Amino acid sequence: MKTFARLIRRYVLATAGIILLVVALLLGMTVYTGVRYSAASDDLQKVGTLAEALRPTADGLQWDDAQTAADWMQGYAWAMVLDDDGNIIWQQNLPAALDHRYTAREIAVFSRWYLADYPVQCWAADYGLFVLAEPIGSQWKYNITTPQAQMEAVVAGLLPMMALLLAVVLGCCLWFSWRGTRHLQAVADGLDTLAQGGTVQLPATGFAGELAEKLNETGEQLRRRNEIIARRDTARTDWIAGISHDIRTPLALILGWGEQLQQDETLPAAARQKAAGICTQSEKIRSLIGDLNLTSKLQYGAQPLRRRAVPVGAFLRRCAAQFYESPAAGASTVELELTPAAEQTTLQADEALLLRAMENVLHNAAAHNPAPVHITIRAEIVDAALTVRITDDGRGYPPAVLAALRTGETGENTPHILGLHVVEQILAAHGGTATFTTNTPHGASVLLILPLPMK
Amino acid sequence: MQTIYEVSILLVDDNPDLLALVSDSLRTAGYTRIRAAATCADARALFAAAPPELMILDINLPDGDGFTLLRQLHAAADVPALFLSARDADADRLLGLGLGADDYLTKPFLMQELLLRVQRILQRAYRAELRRAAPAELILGPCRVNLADAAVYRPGGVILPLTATERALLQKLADNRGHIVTYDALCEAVWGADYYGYENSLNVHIRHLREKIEENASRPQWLLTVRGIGYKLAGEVQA
Repeated sequence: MKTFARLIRRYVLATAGIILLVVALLLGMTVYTGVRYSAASDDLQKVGTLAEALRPTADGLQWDDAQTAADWMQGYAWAMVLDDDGNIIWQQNLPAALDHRYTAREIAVFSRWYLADYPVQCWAADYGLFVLAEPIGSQWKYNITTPQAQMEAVVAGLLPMMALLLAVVLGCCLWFSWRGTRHLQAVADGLDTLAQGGTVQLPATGFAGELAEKLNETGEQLRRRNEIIARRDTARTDWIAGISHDIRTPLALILGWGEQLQQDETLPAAARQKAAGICTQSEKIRSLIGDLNLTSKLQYGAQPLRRRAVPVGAFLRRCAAQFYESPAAGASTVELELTPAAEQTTLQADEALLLRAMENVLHNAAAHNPAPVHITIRAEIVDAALTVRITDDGRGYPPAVLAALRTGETGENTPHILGLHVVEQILAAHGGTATFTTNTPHGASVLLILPLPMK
Repeated sequence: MQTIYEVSILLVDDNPDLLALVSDSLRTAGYTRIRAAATCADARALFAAAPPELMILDINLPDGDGFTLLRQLHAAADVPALFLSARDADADRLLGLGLGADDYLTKPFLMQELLLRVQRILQRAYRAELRRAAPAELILGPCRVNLADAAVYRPGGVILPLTATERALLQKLADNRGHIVTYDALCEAVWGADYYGYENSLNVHIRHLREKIEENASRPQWLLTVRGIGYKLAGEVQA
């Protein structure tokens, strides 16, 4: 069963897709956050710019005239400049608590971290150390120190590591999927066997044990039912074959004696007429037995098809000739119309069965009409199939017969359609169809379609 | 052998009524030498006393089966045989024909059909003897056709020769006189199995044949056309 292979493939692909989606989301969020907050910090003047905007003058350090002091300090809490000794030589907005001399140790600490929780930045200018503070809580400062070799290794190994991680994840998915489906594979194989009409006995172990057990029970039930059906079919076919066999010899005698009485010119005409009736009815029973036996065999697959090459033209002419030769034909006539394509076509079919189908149709036309009929057989090739339409100018099929043929349902009042049903079965056995309709303006019409092998 | 009605026929069936019925019908049809057996042992004894020219065998017999019986009897002499059985399975039919039976007829049957089949088997099996005994002559109204000489004797002493094809066609039609012979069967008789495309030639030969054997070829009385199917030689064999 390919279902599980497809299941694993879908599972692995879905996992890989989810991983890629998560990675993409992470990258997207990082990029989004970076862009958003760097844009916000871009609004602030850089510490270098501010340090250079502060010019030494005769009156001490002064902001460049391009902007006002408040503009230069936009976004910042305060600023100050320390000389080399740690003394404040300039300041702006500096809180009073911070207005004192700074030792080298204090400068070293706040240059890396915070000054009284203010995140500060330092800039070594010609006039001293420019210290710029942002509001408390506005920046997060963290100093990272990593060996150079380690950083180079991380950069060089980033892509291979990503690939390795992905491979490990996919490998894990495959392994877990394989482990899961290994148990289900036996169940799948069992389903395959059941579908092909076999029987199963699966080990009821593992996490799919319950499933296997249910499958075993289903298989056993199917086997029992198939056995019952097969026994019933065989019994029915054998019974019909047996009955028909036992009835054949007595019927042969009835028919034979009937024929003798019919031909006995010493008997009164009325007696000979009755003998003729016995013969006619015996003939009907003979035909019924043949149809019943054949329909039973066709229904239960006990009639093997003996296919061989059957030239269409010669076959249809033989059917017509045999019909003419049979007593049932009476004064009825047959006309054959074959297209050149149909004439040259050769079927691979069971000739005896097809002959029987044609015989049933032709005899039906002659037998169910009080007066002789003219039967036309038209054969042509349509859409890679041989179509044979047999029409007559008689009374046509009664509506009840057409309804019974259309629905296939039989009941107490269903007319006798066994002979036509046999025609349907024979055509179906050859992969074809038989359709019974009414001819225009009157009469019966039968369309037989037999598919031709693809060239 | 002058006619087929002189042949000896061995009839084997375990049903005495059927034996009587078939025997009566064969006698009524003109066959005079009929022997009947109800068991394999009786059949073997009758066969040993004098081999028949035709056997009509049932299959289900009280002391054996018709297939084995045919095999045993054929070992002694290759006599034409026809199975007449209630067994209608294809396997039985194929087995019977495979064993060398000339025909297989399933019960119940039309007596006329049995008689026709018997007639055909005998005509086919003893064609050479029958031809030697009887002149191969067809009577077609005022015309006589001698198939051996391939000549048509018309009224007034006119003798018309038949070509080889015309003779073969007439022979085939005469062998099936009174029955339809399809175009296919006629073509096959003359040109062999690979006859496709000879239909037009067949029509030409039939026309020539009619000009020789019919009083009026345009309104044939003997060589009749069965439209779309084949031809039929009317009347009974009178030779």
